[in-house]
This record gives sequence, C-alpha cells and structure tokens, in this order.
Amino acid sequence: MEIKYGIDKTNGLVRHVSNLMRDKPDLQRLYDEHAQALFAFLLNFTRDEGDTRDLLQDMFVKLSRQPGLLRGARNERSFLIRLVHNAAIDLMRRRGTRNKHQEQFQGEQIPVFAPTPDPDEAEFRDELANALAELPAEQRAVVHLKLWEELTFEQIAETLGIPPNTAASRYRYGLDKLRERLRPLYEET
Amino acid sequence: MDDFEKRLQRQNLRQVPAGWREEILAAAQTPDPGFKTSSEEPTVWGWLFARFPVAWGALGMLWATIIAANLLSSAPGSRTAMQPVFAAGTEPMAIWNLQRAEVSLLNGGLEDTTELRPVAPLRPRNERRRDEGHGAFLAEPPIRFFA
Repeated sequence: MEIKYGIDKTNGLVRHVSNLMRDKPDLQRLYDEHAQALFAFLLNFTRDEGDTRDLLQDMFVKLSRQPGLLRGARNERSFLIRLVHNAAIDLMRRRGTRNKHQEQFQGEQIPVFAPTPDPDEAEFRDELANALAELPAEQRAVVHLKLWEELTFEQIAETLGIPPNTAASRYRYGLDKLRERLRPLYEET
Repeated sequence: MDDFEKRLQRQNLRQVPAGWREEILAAAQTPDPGFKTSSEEPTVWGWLFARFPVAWGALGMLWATIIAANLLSSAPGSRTAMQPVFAAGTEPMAIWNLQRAEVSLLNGGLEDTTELRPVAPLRPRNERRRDEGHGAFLAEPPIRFFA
C-alpha cells in the first residue's frame, strides 16, 4: 500500500489505474477535474454559496462512502451534475416552494461570475447575474449547461432527466428573457 | 449560436474558493461512524441470530422437545409393555386346573376335582349354542384337560 501511494505522488495515471482496480473513486482527481464546473452550476442554480458548499461536500462524501456509485457512469461530468442537481432540488423542496426560495435570494447580489477590471464588462456581468436570478431554476439550469458546459440538448436532457425537446424549449425561453433584459447593455457595446 | 450567446459564453464564471478543496476532501475521507469495516461485518447467520433471538430460542426449544419425546418413545421396555401377556386362550385356566389337581392329590382326593372349562372365545351365537349343547348336534365332546 505504501508503494502505491509513493507512486501516486509522481504518476497520476498509476494512481488512477490503482483506484480503478480497487474500484474506489479517486476523490482528489474527481475534485480537480469537476469541482469547478459543479461549483459554478450549483452557485447559479441555488444562488447561495453556503448551499453550494454543502451540496458539493455532500456529493464527495457520498462518493467516498459508496465506491460503486460512478461504476456505470458513461460521462463522469454529466453524472456528477445530475447528482448535485437532484440534491439541490431535494434541498429546495425541504425548505419550501421554489418561488419562496427565489424571492429570498433575488434581492441579493450573488457573485456568479469572476471579477473583471473592465467596468463595462463588470456591469454586464452584474446585470447578467441578476437576469439569471430572475429565471426559473429549471430554465437557469438548462441555460447554464448549454452556455458554460457546452452540452448538447440531448446531453442536457440526459443530465437533468428531461426530454430533449423540453431542454431546447427551456433554453429558448430563458435565452429570450436574458436577451430582453440585457438588450440595452448589449446594444450599447 | 448567435453573437449574444457567444457574448454570454465568454463571461468567466467564478472560481471555487481555494480553501474548499482541503476541507471537502477531508470531510469526504472521514470514516462514517455508522460504517463497519469488513472484519466487523456480521455474517448472515450472525445477523439472523441477532435479529430474531426469541424466534430462534423458541425453535431450539421445539426441537429439543421433539428429540426428547422421540428418545423416550423408543425405550426398550415401552414397546413390550403394550403387548398382551397371554394370547386370548386357555393358559391361565390350564395352570389353575393343574394347581387344583395337585392340591386335590395332596389332600387325598377330597377336593372337588371338577375341572374348570376355559372360557370359549367369542364366536357367533349359533356356534356357541352348538358348543353348549343347545343345538341338534353334539358332535364334539367338551374340552377336557385331564383324563
């Protein structure tokens, strides 16, 4: 065992193969490869940094205690997004209706985007964050996966457990609202 | 994808806070208090015994009772005790007559030497009447043990 961990430090591939053989997920690799995407999706979906952290941690705890969870996954990223999406929906249901949850956070400025030195771009990002917050959570999830994860509608449908046509229509509705909301800023530039 | 979508796509998303990695991985690798290692995992039988102790105890008592009853019923004396000592016949009567004859001889023949006749086994009425002399035939003499 010591030898395996010694190799781990110098050769990530050996570490990955070793964990595959033991059928135990390599949490560090999973974090490095997917945590950023999961964080951005959860932050955009829940509009709450504390919830995002809890959901992310819960998912890694689940992966650690259920080693076979990723066994049948064709696409790790899609599978993990589906896990956290379902967990986020459960969290919202436990707290009450989604509308109440949205109203709670609509007035708050959630830093979904990275800071930028360009003031025009910063203003656009702030408005975009607010516009996203006004979308229903289902539309926001589809818009996020389409624009920032660059998934196809089929992949989005599989990830969120909805029909592809539903994914496409939610994207169109959401994008139209964003376009309408950001039109003044977008046409200025 | 039109220009507006491309413009949105260019907006960089916020990075994960730096401290989260260590905290989340540490929390994930903390052993579950409810999780048992393989050496502590109970066997199937152990799980069954631990889960239904009363049922297993009752089943054990039932088997013990059945085995004890079986052993007692197969004891050597019990089988012959149910068998008749004498077949339905004349042996007791013959012994009795012999004893009476001996007593008579010892007493000089003063005793009544009338022999007791064995009780005839149960037979149909017509056959009994014939033996007792009520019928038209007396083909057979009464049974006599001593001449």
